[in-house]
Amino acid sequence: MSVAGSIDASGAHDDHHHAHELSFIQKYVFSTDHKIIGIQFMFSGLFWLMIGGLLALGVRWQLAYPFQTMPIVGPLLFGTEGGAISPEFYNMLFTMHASVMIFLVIIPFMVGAFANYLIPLQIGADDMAFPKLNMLSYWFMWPAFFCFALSFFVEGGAAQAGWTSYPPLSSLTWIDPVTKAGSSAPGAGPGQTLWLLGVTFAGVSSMMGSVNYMTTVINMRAPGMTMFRLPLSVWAILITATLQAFALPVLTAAGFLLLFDRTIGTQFFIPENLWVNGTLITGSGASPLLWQHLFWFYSHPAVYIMILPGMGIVSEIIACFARKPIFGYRPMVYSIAGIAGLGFVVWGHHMFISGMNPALGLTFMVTTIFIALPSAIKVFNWLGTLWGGNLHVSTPMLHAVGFVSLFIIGGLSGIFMAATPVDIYIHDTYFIVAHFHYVLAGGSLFSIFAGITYWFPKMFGRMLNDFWGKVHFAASFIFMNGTFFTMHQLGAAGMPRRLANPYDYDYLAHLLPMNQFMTWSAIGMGLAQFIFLANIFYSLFYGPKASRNPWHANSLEWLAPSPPGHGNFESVPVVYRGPHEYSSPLVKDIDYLPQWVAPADIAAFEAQAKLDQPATEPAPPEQPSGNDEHQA
Amino acid sequence: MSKWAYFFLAVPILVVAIFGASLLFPSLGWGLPENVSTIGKSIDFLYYAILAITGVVFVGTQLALCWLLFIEKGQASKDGRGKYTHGNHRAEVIWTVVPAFVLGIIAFAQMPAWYQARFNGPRVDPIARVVARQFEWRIVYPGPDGQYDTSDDIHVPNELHVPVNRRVRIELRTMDVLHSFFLPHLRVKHDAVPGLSVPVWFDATKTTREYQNENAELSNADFRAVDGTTRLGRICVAIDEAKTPLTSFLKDHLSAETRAMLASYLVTWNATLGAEFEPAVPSGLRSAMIGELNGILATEDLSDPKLTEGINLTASTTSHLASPLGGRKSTLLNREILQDAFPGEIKPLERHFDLACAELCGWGHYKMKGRLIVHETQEELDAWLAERHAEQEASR
Amino acid sequence: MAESIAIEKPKHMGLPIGNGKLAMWLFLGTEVMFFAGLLGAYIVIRLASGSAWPHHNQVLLEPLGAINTFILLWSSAHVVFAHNAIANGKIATALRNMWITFGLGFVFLGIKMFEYYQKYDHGFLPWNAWEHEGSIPGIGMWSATYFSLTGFHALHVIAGLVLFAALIWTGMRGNLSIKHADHVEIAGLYWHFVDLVWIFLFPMLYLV
Repeated sequence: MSVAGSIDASGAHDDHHHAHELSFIQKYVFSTDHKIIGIQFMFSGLFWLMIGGLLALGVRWQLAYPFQTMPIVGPLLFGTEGGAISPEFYNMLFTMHASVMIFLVIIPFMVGAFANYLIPLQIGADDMAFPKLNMLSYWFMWPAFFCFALSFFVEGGAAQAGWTSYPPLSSLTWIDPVTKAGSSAPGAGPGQTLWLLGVTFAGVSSMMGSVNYMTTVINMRAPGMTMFRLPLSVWAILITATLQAFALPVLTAAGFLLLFDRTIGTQFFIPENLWVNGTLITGSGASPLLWQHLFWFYSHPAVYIMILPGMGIVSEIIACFARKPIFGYRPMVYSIAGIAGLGFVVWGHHMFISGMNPALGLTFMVTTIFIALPSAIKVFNWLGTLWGGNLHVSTPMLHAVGFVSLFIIGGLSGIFMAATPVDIYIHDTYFIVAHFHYVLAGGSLFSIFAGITYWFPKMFGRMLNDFWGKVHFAASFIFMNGTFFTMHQLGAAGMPRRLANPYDYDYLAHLLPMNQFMTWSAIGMGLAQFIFLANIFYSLFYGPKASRNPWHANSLEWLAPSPPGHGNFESVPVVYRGPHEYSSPLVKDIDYLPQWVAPADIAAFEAQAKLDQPATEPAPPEQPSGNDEHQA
Repeated sequence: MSKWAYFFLAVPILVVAIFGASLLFPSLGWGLPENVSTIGKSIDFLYYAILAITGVVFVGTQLALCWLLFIEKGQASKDGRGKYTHGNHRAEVIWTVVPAFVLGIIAFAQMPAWYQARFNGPRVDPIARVVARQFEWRIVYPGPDGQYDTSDDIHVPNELHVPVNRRVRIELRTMDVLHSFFLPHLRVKHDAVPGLSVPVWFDATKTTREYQNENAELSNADFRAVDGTTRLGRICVAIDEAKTPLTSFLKDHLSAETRAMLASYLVTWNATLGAEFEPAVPSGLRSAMIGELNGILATEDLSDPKLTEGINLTASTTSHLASPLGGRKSTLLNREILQDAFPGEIKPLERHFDLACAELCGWGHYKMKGRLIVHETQEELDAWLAERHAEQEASR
Repeated sequence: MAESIAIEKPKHMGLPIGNGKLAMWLFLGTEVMFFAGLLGAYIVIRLASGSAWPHHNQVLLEPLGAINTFILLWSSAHVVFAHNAIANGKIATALRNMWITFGLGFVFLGIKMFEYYQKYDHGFLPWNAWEHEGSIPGIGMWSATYFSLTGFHALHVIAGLVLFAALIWTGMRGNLSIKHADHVEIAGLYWHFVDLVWIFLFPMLYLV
């Protein structure tokens, strides 16, 4: 682990210019450059997003056409049985859909891709505090990918106990591999063990990353970059990193205990005297509730890990495309901190009717109700930012506004389940599924789209196609709502989660047409993502070249070239003001004033900038002689 | 002005339409099912109150969003710039304090209901023990001696019988993994935790008979749209083996190929719950067999008592058989055919208060169907228990 | 936001401690949470078991635990001496003290291995302790929690020894100098943490 020296008093960094040429492997595969690592996280995230989406389509198909031939999968895997999937397979589909999306897509995107790419650039550093550790944190994801992928092919298939992996269902592996005696599920075989290993590897990867991000943001900011001049994306990622660092180890501990239950015969989560599959499980044991507490202690902060960076990204984008400062910068920072802080003490709301002491439920209810408050404050501040703005409705802006619209729905639906008596009814129904898909698929996913479309020019030096970007947005938004909104209705009607065939229940039988509509919307949403991928891959090679600052934004990353070279900035930037000085009165003919422009240089900067095109049209390509838009 | 404002306007419009339809047209079944318990009244009230509050906030914020998009350039239309402000302290205070206040009200308003649901149970003996296992509910009554774990305990699979209008207690347990005891119409739910015996209190304010009478109309309506693709329920061909041996009936009427394939599959016939084909029977075979039965019933002379005497038909269709990809729209025993063959014999689907498992418990999680039977009087319940006890003793 | 004047002498933004030290403190925070998860589980399990738990005399030798505690404390002291020495340029003293710490760490592990061997001998390992459940109620869960807690602790001790091995290796090759003072301090921080975890484990396992 390399230890970077402290920056000396003159502010000069250690010289990082390499005299030798790096090989392709060193430059693009085992790179220690945070930008490459961020992009690696991004592309593996996009790959697993497609896999997670396919798994979801399997779930949706079964719910629309229960036990009928499933396309492709049915004839391939269940040919002898006429192509209808088995119930165990269905359990595997929703388990792995959630696990892949959470551990291999959203979290790596937020605390892998965006955190890595943005932090050094936005704070004016040349790289992370520990570049080699950073590289390791990406490569630790590959054992996780391997474990998850392999689990589909082992005997019994991949994990089938839900992404929550509650024991005893997830811990009772078979005593006799032939008769499967003692197993709580025929599929509780190596797949579940691989799941635990995969989650552990992913966890180690993010813990490494979190320590790196916190150290970097605290200690490596450019001169003049005080904490309250940081872009909100950096604040969000910093606070997310604290959540990740201090909550995840508890899940790691729990994961090991569950692993021991499955492999070396302990019974941390298995009480005594259970009759499972014809076998009596003896020996003293502890409680399944212990797992639930340990699991949710991390997994609740995990959901804030999945949304907070997105909120930071959306703040940056809305300020930029409304051409005004973010409304209420400090309240926004305090809200992020408030969500994170409260996020540590609400985990019991997943366990209101789990057998936990109801009095404890009361305390969790109060904290959970109040965590809605900082989120509400943020929504009002986004609206306040739009108010009085000079709006440029570009693709990133659409995704950001879409985020706000969808997050409002997701956040408000959360209040129902914070009300404990109502939660008695809607717990483990589709109402919950609706809520978390609105905040995850509506919130996090759209913020990822927003971030990619906004920073693509910086990452790759090319512009994405704006028309197809808007088509992708519109299609995703429409189909997302079509897929998930009526889940509120399903939940209110009492449809439980995780049922391979809910229509066997008389009181649910009438919900089939609604589910079929939702399935076709889901297929639409899946297809829409190909537009996005096509746009990305086409623009990577053939998109119009991007200038340094095509959006005329203010934060430090727009000072660096597009894409930035090794070391990011030609010289150490100095910061003179906050990150959202759009429409500043200090400039007359342009409507932005970047953080790096010294007061003495404002006039010169303005004169040069007036020559550029307006923000939403592609800026002219780089001038080879170098613009003097920055000052050391 | 941005046309995207209209795009985002679709969100509040459609949301209000969908929730509005759920509330105004209960027959759609898009909202809370009928409530038949006391705690359910509090829970439903809270649900609607929160819906109202969040609904107002939702419409307000979404309309604000659309409006801001609509005006797009705002002040900027004057000078081409955004309004240079970093915020407004008074606005921050207002939109912190007001939501905090509202949230506080919600927090306090719900405490009585939670107390009633989970704390305030009468210290009575449990009327039954509900033991969940993979994949059924084993319900145990104490039997004539009033004690559990004695030889006269009455064991009933999947049916919980209680008297009306009395707050009863059950002991919820599980033999193997986590399950969850969910009575949607009573708004009761609690996890069955290995190693724990959980007391759950509830009362039912309507008897099963009353509920079935009220819903007979609804079940009849189920059949108006029978076309094999969208209508739900189960057609039960219940055949009394003693009177019309199943095998000979099938032997005489099904084709050789169907018979051969069917011979290797398990088909359960249950007089009460109706016949279900195990999912293991491939959908193609099911369709073929049902098609044949359809054909038989449509064309055979069913007035022959030898054929019909032991056949009871109760109602519904199953969605299993429609396959949009296969293009096959076979209908299992649609009502017209049934009505012609057995005039007056078709009984509507009997509705019950369902008991569902609401915690993933393995591959059979979706099959853990039970029902709650609410008796009009304690005597009726006792009589039923006595019958069960006698049956149990007889079969020893 | 008010316009600020240009900064004449750009100063270091951040805490007055180096990246390495800051990172180690943060990492130790994560380790605290890891052991908190394990210890929390142990406490809950122990309390729920009530009297159905082996008395520590049936399963452990207190003197061994006490000796191990003393050894870790002593080794921590030598880490402090090592850091003091190297910060003052006394390289040889520093190296010697690190050797002592390293050696004491090995002694700790040796005693631990002896204790584990005794459990093996008695059949108290997590996968076979259940067989004694009849005569010693709670032995199964005891074994599971004992080995999880002390096992993870031992792994962390080994990691600490690796850190010191790296520094000692540098020293033995004659390359240790005052600029490694921070490295020694950081390794020392980690070692103190490992010690601190044991200070919690010892009473909770051996004394109550």
